[in-house]
Amino acid sequence: MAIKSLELYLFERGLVGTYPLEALKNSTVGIDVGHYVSRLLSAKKEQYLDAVGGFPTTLNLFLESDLKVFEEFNITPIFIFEGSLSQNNLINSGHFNANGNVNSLDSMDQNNSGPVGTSTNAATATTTAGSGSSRESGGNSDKDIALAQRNKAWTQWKNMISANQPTYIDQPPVPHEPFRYHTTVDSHRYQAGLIQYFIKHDIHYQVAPFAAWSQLAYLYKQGFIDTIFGPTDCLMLSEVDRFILGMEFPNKDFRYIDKNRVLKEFGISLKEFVDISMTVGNTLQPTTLPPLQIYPSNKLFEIALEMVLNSGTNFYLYQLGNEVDSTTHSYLEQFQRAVSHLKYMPVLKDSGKVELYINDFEHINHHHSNGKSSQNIENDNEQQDNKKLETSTSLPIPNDVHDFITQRLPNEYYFYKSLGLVSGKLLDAITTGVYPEEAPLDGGASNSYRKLVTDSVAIFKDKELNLLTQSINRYFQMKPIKQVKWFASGDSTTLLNRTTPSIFDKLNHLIIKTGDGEKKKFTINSFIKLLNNSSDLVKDFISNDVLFPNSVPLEKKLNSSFDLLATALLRSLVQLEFFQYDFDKKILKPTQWGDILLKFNSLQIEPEFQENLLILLVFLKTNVLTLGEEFQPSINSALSDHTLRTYPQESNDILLLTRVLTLYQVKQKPASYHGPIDKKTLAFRDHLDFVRENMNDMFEAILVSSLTANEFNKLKYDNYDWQREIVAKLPFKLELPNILMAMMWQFFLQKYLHNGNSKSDAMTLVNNVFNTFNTITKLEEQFDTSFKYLEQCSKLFKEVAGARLMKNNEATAFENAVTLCKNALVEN
Amino acid sequence: MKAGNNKKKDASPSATSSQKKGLTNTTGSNSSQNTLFDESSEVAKQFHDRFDYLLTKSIGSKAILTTTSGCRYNGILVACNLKSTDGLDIVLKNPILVSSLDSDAKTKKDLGETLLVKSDDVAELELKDINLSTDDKTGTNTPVSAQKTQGNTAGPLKTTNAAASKNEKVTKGTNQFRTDVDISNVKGTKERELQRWTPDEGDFMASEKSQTLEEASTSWDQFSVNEKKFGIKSTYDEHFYTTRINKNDPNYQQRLKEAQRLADEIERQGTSGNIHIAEDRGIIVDDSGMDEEDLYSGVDRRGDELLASLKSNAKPSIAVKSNKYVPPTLRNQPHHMDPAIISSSAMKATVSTKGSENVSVPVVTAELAKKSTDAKDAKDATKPTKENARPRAHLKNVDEEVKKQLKEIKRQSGRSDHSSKTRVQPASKTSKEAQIEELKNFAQKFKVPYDVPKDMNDVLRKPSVSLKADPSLPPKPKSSSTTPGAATKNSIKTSHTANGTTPQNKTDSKKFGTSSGQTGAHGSSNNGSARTSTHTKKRPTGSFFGSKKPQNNGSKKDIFGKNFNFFLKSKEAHDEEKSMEPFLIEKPYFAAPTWANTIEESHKSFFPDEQTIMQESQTKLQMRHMNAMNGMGNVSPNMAGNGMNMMGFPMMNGPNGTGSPNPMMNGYNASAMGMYMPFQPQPMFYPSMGPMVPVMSGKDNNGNDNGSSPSPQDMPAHMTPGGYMNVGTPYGYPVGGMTPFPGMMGNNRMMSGGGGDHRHKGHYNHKNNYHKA
Repeated sequence: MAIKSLELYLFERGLVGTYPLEALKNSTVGIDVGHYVSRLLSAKKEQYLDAVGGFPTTLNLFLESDLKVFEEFNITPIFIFEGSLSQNNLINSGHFNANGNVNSLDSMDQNNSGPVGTSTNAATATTTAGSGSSRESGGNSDKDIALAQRNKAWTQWKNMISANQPTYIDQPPVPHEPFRYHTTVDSHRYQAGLIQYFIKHDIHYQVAPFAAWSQLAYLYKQGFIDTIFGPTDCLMLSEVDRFILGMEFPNKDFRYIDKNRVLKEFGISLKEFVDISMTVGNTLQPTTLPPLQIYPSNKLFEIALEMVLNSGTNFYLYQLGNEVDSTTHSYLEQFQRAVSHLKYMPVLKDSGKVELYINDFEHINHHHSNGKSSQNIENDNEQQDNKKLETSTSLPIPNDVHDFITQRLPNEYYFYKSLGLVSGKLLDAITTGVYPEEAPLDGGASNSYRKLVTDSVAIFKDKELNLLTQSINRYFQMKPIKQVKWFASGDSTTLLNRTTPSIFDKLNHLIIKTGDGEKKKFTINSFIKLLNNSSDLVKDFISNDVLFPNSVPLEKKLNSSFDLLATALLRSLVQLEFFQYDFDKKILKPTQWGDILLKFNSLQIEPEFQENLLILLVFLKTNVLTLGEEFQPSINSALSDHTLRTYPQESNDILLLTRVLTLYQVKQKPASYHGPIDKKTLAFRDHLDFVRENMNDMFEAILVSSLTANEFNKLKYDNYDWQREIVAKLPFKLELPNILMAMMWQFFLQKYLHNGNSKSDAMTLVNNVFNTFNTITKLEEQFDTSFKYLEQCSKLFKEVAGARLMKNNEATAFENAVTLCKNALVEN
Repeated sequence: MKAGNNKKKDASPSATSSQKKGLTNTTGSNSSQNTLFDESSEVAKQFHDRFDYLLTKSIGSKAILTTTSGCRYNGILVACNLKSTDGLDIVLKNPILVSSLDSDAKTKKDLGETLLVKSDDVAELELKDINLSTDDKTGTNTPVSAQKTQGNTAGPLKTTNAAASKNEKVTKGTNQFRTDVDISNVKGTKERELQRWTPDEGDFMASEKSQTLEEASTSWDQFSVNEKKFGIKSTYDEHFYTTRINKNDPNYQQRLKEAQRLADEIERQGTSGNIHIAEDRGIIVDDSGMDEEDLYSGVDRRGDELLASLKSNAKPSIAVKSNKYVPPTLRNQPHHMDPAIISSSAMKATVSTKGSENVSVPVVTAELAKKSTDAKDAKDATKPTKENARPRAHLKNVDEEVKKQLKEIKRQSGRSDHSSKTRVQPASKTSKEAQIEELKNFAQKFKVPYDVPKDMNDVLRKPSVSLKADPSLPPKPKSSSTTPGAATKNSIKTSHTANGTTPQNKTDSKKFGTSSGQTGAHGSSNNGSARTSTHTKKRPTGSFFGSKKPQNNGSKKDIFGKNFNFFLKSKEAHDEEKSMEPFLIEKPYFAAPTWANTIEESHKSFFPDEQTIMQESQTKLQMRHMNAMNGMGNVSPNMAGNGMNMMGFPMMNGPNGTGSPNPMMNGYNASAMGMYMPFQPQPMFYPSMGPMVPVMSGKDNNGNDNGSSPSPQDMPAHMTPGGYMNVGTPYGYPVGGMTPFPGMMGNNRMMSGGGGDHRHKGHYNHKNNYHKA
């Protein structure tokens, strides 16, 4: 989020320098992914992402071209993802109340924070310097603003739908209100996708334990990278003299900031700069503190600077002076926490351990001011001298670092996190004691979604936390962890992370160890094959000996990624009741659900659909909503009233189809989506994505428990192997597809019905409405393959209904729906 | 058509069998069945109404009637009884028997001019070519079947497909409000080729072939016609409505000429690219590709394009610009913040506008402005040379560069003139020369009032690249450059000398990126040849990193592969220390939930207490004011300036330095107050910075190292006594025993008797205030 309003101000003051990219030749550039993405996905891009879900495809487009430029100059990019949030940020981003509209559980009074400016983030001042963005908002954090905008957009859409009802027949209306405006895209929307992309393209990345730019500071200091591409927060780093603020790839140059020059020009010391930054708000302290809250958000820094220069204001002193006032009491703490965090930043060191990196911004200032030469040339030498001094001086580390950062996890966990092997949400729940359930994209008003959230505690969360806390400090095993829901934040659920025996103890005899695991690529498909090939599951997969004791020789442990992942999946499926397992009784057999899963291959379901269909099965198993059931309270369909009235049967068919199609990703070129939207389909997608996320959590928890227990030969892989062999193959990791294909079918069929059953007309409509000329090259082919997918689903549902796990009439209805598709696809 | 239609009808799920007496109306692809849905009477009524509407619309159109006996009659539907209860009585005109099951000759004969069929006998009625739209203009005979080919539109006729309910949309779609989307989505009824009306031979109108006034051969006098026809005598006199022209005036001829001249002038001005005006004047313009919005209604914003293109530093296209309209306010406006450019282009504008070639002015201005930046660079580069009395050869070098660039300017501007309007050339040429002269003079007279750093030599010897202020940036106060060493900041920026830490302005990038017309990487020594002639400055690659250039990073992959790996590194560490013991990966169990600490104290204890901070910030403020005053008081460039961090901010010293003692006092008090009191916004805290900044220029350029230590003890060493006094006393530091330095006092006009005490008191007052708060 950067220091508020500073970037713009730097441009105004002409303190942003430019170099051609050539200057970075042969260098290694550490990139703060959040900062980088916020520049790529600026205000105008992907405004409708939140209405269709999925990965922001334009990101790949930019990334690809940028990487090409890097390659051209032999620049090695190192992408650093943002890790956990610190205490201040957790509060600010609504972690403790899942962004519900209630007061924070903490003592923090966060609703007083006044206008928040993200102008630096959103305006991408490199291109709009001078124009500036002055967004006033009553919201607190970026997240609040994003949510407010999303709600606004949905309301607008609803109004538009009802306004269009008389005229809307088969030409779907397109919403006008953007679903995201001037806020950054939430990092979890792209993190997993980007990681996959990086692995595939051999780009190095890391997930920082906390703030990405502090990790970069460490990498920079240690010489792992030559320069930092990060937010203005980097100005607060004592040992970073200059960093890259933005890259202008089309012009082949980049913008940088020289810290010393900035300070000189401002006429303040680094300490004062930090003082100002903490008050206007920055990554470590996202709230704008008094007395600055009354000022326009795009002028904050300028005003604060003038206050310092004119009146010697010390903002810390100000907070201190207002401490007695109980309403602002927390500001002082917030301030202190942020300053302390700035001094002690946990980073992943090259030793693989997460330790504190000390950023002694107060002392470096003295060095600089004492012996500063004004000659630029001498600066270099001097700074090197300073650096030497710096390393010798180290600040004492207080005993309550956990107060401003969060509690500490074992290094091994941080390591998994740095690989992207664990998404981190569960880990954050362990350190903060809160697992927030935030509203999904559609708002999550449906009872079924809320029930799903509530049910997820028993189905997933309790088990996951048990798995993750079992192997770490006893404190965490005792620590109460709550699930906080946005829709009922007063009513938190305490998660049960203690069970005896622990889940891992129950599972650790389940082992898949194939002789040839090295050669196999782990997929759901190969997993099913393996199980189908086994004549006796008990004999093949229940091991009498456990693998985790140190006495077990390495070669007896799991040695290939296939074995590791397959074991984890099997254990996950046992947890999800797809398999019945009892070690003592030597039982391992598939339940009805498991039977269906094992039939995936014989049903000729293509491997690429298997993962998503497994998610669908798990969803059906939760039984919060059947496939054809209406949401309660109901959500407007994107179909026209005319269609619903004239073709009630077909409308029902379309509903079934769209729901199942939310699992089908249309092959599209990267493009910002703008077109019709469908909340009803999105809501169903949200259900599925929620299940997907939980399955991912479950899988990760089981995997981590297996890894921490030393069931796997962990010394076998270096970082790249870990990434390629394990992270890249993790199932349920990627966000579910967007609803484009579902909507295309929906409007295709609607037009088809209304238009004398003409396929070509309907196809033209889809072409026009979705602008597929630009985004989808082979539209008809996409319809054909998705139709094949639907046929496979139809077979699957028949099977499911046959096992009485699904209403028979729904399976039949789906079959009819597929027939409708079939007819529509055949030109007549 | 029908076959397909029927098929579709069958597929259509709503084609239920409960038809009203099996009446089928087939119009092209439109198969409408009056279907009795199980709906409310309200809905049923709607269907009846629609059916009635359909029949009403069908009157007069062709119909094929099938009777219960199996006979099919072709005829024109003239009437039908809408009130008939159990069907429909139908009257056909000119009936022809098409086919009949029982070849009954009698039926054929019986056919008269009209055929009346009772509802009992009607089996099916097929209607053809019915226009269901309410709009008569669309043409009744537009073949409905044509609609079928129109694709995916939701047009009114289109929607009559397939289902009975679609009739509803026929009415709705046409009557009700439709959004733009709906309208534009109707790809439109097919336009037929319009044909000019020509009277038939022998038509009575043929005699008056030319109907328009322009074409009429005989002049039309409405008065005479009126009189002849109706006997009305007109009292019209044109002079009721206009000024009588005294043609007898002795100056009449002269005035006529003058008027003619003015008219010519106006018309000659051209239409400024305004198509509408051109059209009014009868000029034939190619308006293809322009919509009506552009032509008649849109606000002409093309003037902004110039601004926009300048903003983006795109090379303005001369050819395009020549007939662009530029708002008068923009014509003289330089799009540069550089004073030199402003003055030169403003002058240019005044000179050239005399020639009434307002069209070309902006072009030339833009072009020249661009070029003059080059010139300015050269000029900038000259400054330090003069000052330091560098070897003549060096100066010559620069001079040559100036000349070269001036030539370039001439060439460029000449070209631009040529391409716009040749007759403008002389005027602009002279103005340009005047301007060049001006620049030359300026360059020669200009002196840099300070030392030029050694590293500038290299820079100055080389021709500099053009510097152009980016208009998209707010005015950048040039003189606020605080790089003491790099006194000639502009030059440095311009030339990208890049000794590793040279500050660079954003503007440079812009220029590099686009205006030089070369988007490739600049600044590397190996592609210098690719540059335009004016940009021959070489710059070392990798200067961004200063002395330590990044090495080839082939090994980076290994570094990131092994490092940061908890397991591998733990093993490594283990192997180094105690390789005898077996390596065990650290159990996560042992990691405490807290972070390793070195002292048993809270981080909060590290924060200084109020007193310390207060003192510190006071000291800081004091330092600042001292620096500020120092900068002001010392005109000599060699005077100890204040380096880096402690640079005073101009805001304060600006008003205070020039003001009377009282404002000074207030200023200090107010600022001191602000420090301790809950913040109260006061306008005086925030004077705009821009204008004030130049005041600082002198000070910033001091190369002297002033330490800028915040501790008060250090201050005297670096301060002139005056400076010390002036600032020290107000804050009650070393008041006693100090003899005010009269000279300084006089100069600064800020010490009044007892001022020290007063301020001293004020200081404590603030403190008290603070405590209360």
